[in-house]
Amino acid sequence: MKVKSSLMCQNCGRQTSHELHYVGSSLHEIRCLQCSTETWGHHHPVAGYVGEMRGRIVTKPWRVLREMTTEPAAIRSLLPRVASKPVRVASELIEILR
Amino acid sequence: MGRTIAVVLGAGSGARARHAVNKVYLDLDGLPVIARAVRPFIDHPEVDETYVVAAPGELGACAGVLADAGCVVHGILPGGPSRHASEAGAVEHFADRIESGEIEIVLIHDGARPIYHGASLATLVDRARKGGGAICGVPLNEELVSVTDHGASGWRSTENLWCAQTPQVFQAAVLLEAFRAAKAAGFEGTDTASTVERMGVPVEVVEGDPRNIKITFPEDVVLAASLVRAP
Ligand SMILES: [Zn+2]
Repeated sequence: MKVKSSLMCQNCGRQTSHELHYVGSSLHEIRCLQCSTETWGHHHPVAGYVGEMRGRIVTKPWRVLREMTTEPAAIRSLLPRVASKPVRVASELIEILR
Repeated sequence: MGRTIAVVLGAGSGARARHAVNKVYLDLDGLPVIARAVRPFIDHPEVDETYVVAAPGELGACAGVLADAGCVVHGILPGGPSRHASEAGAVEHFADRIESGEIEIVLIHDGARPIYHGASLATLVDRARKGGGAICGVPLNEELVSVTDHGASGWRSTENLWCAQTPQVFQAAVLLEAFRAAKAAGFEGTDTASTVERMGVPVEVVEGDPRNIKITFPEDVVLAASLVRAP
């Protein structure tokens, strides 16, 4: 999901329109629409997504959790096993990796 | 003792681009910034009533956002074109109840500060009741330097400099008088304390929490999103 909001841009030196890109409920990226300066979410985007997935699959075995948190790339192989809404999860993941 | 009311400023200031969302409605881990800013005052033992100031065109949207977040407030008031105007309008809205003595304390909080947890509130209210006003602040642990066209020209001590935060808490009668005097003088304060301080009323600073950030830069949104997830 993308949302526009006015924030102060250090580069422009004034309040400008920014685009905030959310993936799920995680903030993925913020971009100044004047100068295109990007501010990334606090964690690596894939790592952040892993954290969110962890919350969604709390009922799944610990082994799956461990694989996901230690190796972000493992998400691809895990998706069929952990996602109750595979299409939505896959589309979110594609949005991150794009 | 009279009643204590909390006023959370969510109107913002300045014109927004088309389709741009007021930053107080941005999502922080599933809950809007304004809901996180209002929450500490709802049901707080020191606060009897909580109000939100919203931009005139966003009154309905604000009510909807707060309702969705389960935040029950006593009212949503229309803001003005600046922070000062929003504060002045809110204080004037309660003028009759302040003059009658029913409202004793008014607390002002930025709607763009979603990380305040209410821990210092009892101290702030107590100090305001005794002295006139009290605000949260944090020491400025930074090096300040003057910069000219020729480069850095001198470092400044920050020993006695603090960054003012909110909540800012005041005796209601003092606040009403301060805003009426400011209007008569054409004065626009940058925050509530500056409007009160020019009346000669002492404003005490209570050490606040450095995490009580105001969302201003994109980095603040990222940091706030991280802080709300912190245990
Ligand atoms: Zn910019």
